[in-house]
Amino acid sequence: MLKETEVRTFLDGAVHYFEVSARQPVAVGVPYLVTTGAPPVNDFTGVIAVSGKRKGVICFTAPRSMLMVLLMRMNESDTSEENMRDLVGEVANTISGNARRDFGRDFCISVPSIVASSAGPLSLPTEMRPVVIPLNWRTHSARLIVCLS
Amino acid sequence: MVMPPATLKLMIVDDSNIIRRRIERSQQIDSLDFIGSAANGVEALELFETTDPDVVTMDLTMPEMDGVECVERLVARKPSIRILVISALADKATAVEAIARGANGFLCKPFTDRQLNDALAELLQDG
Amino acid sequence: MIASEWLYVMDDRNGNSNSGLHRVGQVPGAEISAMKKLLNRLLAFRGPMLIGIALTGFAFAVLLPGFQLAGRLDDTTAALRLVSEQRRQADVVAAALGALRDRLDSFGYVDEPLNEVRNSMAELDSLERTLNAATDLGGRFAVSASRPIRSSPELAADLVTFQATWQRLRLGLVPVVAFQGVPYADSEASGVQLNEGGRLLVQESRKAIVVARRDGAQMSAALGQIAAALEAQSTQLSAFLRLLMLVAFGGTLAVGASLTYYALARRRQALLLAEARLQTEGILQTVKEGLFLLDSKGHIGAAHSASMRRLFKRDPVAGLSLQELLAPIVPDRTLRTALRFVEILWSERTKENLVRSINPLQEVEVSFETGSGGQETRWLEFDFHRVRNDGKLSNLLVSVNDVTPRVRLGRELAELREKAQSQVDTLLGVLQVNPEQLRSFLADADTAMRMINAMLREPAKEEASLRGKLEAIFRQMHGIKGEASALGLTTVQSRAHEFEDALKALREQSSVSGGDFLTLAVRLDDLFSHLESLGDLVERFAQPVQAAAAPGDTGRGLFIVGAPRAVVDPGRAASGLIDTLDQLLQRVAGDRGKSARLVTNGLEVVPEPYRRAVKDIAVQAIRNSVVHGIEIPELRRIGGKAAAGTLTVQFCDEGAAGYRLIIEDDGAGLSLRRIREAAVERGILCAEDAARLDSKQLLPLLFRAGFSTHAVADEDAGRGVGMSLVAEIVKDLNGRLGISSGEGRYTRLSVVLPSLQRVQSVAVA
Repeated sequence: MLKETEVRTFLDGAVHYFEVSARQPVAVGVPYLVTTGAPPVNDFTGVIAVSGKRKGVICFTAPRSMLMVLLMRMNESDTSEENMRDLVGEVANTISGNARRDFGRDFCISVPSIVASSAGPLSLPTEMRPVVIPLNWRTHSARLIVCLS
Repeated sequence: MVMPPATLKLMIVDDSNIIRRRIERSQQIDSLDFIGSAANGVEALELFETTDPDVVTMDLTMPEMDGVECVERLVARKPSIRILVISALADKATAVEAIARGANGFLCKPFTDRQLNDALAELLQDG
Repeated sequence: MIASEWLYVMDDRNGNSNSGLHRVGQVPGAEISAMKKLLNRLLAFRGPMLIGIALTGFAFAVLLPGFQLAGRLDDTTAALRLVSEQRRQADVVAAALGALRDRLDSFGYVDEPLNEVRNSMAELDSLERTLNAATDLGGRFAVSASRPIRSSPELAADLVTFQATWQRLRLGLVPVVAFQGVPYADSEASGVQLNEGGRLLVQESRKAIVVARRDGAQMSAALGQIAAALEAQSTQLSAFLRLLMLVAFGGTLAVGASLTYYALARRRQALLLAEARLQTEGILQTVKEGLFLLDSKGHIGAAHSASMRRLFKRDPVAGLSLQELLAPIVPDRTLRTALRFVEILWSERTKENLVRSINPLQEVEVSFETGSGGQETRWLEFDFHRVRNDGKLSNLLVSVNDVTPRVRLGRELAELREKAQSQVDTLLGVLQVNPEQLRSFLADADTAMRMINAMLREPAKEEASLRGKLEAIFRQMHGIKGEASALGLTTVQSRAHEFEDALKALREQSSVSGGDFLTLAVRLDDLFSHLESLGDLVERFAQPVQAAAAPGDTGRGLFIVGAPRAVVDPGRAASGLIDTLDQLLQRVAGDRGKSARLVTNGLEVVPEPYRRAVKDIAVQAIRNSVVHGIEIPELRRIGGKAAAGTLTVQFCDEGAAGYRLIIEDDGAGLSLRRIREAAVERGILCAEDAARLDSKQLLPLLFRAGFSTHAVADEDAGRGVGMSLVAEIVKDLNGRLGISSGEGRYTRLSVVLPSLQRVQSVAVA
């Protein structure tokens, strides 16, 4: 069961992240639901498991091309795959961690785990309908996936 | 701004390599001398033993040992140590806990280079 | 003392425009500006000292010089008087000498002029002595005529000239005045005659007359000089003294004024303090806010606002520790955080800004036991402030606000929505609806909602395309709302209505961006959930005996798309489906002045897991066929066809090859020309490419989201969503999709769905 204010908390976190870290705002795309199958993912996905007050998963998924430019915007010259994985995890972690401002301390978040698209579709809890929010940045498109009970 | 003339040894603790590198690269406090970084609390304590840092930036959500516990242990070993917590956890109870255990400042991720330097400068100001 | 402490604290709050402190600032007694405060403090502690310093300074700067000046003026005046008086002595001497000569000539009495000369000499000697005196004979404070001369080099020079001429004159006079006795001898023989002394006197006096004429004039001139200089000095000194008097007058006025102001300020300050004390007491009695001071031992001070008792339902409050105050009403975790925070406040180590920014007690949930054994929940906002006395942290000022109304308002809204979601009168509505009709509605609504979701998902960046989405979504939702109201499903209707309201609000915004659509996605999720629960209900009541659905079988997931929640008799299910499709066909055809009949075949063999997919595909295909394929009766007659079009839906089990669904109409067929035109119009292809492509390359465009050959969107066509939805359903099921057409004759949509065994084996792998 999604609540708008809650989803917005994560969305605001994502927008804030790009504003501060990439110093360039994202254009938020039209959010939609995943009604069948697995959510669409890009090359790398940072997955944060949420427990405590709410249960579910928060994902940030982005293509290599975007991660590379993001790393460069952060003055990181090493754009290895290792660092791209690190970055999607960090973004997912930051967005989820920031959400504690609104959810409070009982909103527990895991350390990020990173999934590459080559490892197959992302399996999320089936009893939830995740909401996918496209984040368009420059010519690249990433997604924020919020899946909360 | 008048900085203490002596150089202070800086240790960076964060489980993200790119954040570690970014802090190292972006910090521009003349009196700080980067001496090493650690990816979790356990590594941080080991590095502390060999390098005796004066200033630490500390992530909170980390595998092995989390930042809050690490803050407490570092302060117990070296009360004069100055610790800036840099975390995405934006709730106030977490900040209170970290500061009550001995951290001296709190910077929320994401941060700009300027915010980082301001926070570090403030951390050292009344030291 | 307490009163002034409060006053100070409140002032301090005024100065800091931080978090929620303004309420206190509105209290009139606290409105003492920093400037006034500073002045008052200055006057209170430094006023007397400042005035003392001013007076001493005044004495030194004005009175002493004045005293000195007055003395100098006296001296100068004395000297001037002396000189002016003695200036005539030269003439007196000259006149006396003249008289002496005349007397000698006429044998007159000479003692008189001689004495005059002697007198003048004595006067002049005295003058010389007085003016030339090296020290003040009468002491420091006596008037001294010689002082102005000593202090002025010019006058000293003039004095030397006077002395020189006087000594010369004196030399000439001394032989004259040395004469004693009578200058005459009286004899019978010669009568009265000058005696020897007389003759000498005559000689000497003649010489003296010459000398007096010459040196006397010079001496007079010298004395005139001295007099003039003294006069000038006197004028100057007088001017100085006047000026000094003026300054003294001004200074006196200033000191007087500041003394008066000081007295007034003292009085006003005393009044203000008294007023503040009264007001502080008044505030503490009447303020709604809880205000208290924590001392260094963590205890609440005696001066606290009366409302503390009300807020915490405790009496007395004073003397309690914060822990004792909070422990009964907050969870342990909150208490720990609160005490931690207070620790931080007390340690000077942590800076004010940092402390402020981490206050964790801005919305604390507290619960009280009510008399009747129930629980009352309220929310309190705590604000902490360090109070310093002489720079040392002495107390913590804590303000407590009851923010329950604010919090409750927010939560009530949320609860209201949640309640609406779980309304049980749903059941009543559901029970009154024919199960088949309800299933049909649920399937339609599900399809419409999937279409809405597909529209949301369709990438769009420009404002215009976002607004286009709004319009298309609105029509879909409006359809759901209409059907729900027709069936009396108020819970669905109200949700659809709220969705429409949110949509209208978006439409009225001057600009929309992708993020604004979040509210629609979330509401759509809610509608999905609600319709799912309705579906559960309808299955449970329609098939009470056979209700053996797997609990986790919610109709979503990789291979169970479209699965109903209960085992439904295939025949009944098929008849429900056929009814739904026929209703749809008739409605859409009727709306467009067309006529059509439905022919179905094999729908009863649709396996359960595919039932919904088949329905969704058929619904879209039928809409599409009626809108694009089947012609209006007039056209059909011209083409030699029956006025009513025929729509065939066939389903067959092809064993290992899977299932085949064919939906065919006998309409106009696909127009490649119109597909090309639409592709160019919508910017998908350029004109040259469009012309070059053949049907094999063009037809897949029909399944592309956002592609429609229909210029104007309405409820059933034009959004370019329907066929893309079909493609998506098929793709999700790992099926295949084909379309073929004979111009003027037919359009055939062909779908192959994998056999269920295969799907399951994929899923297991």
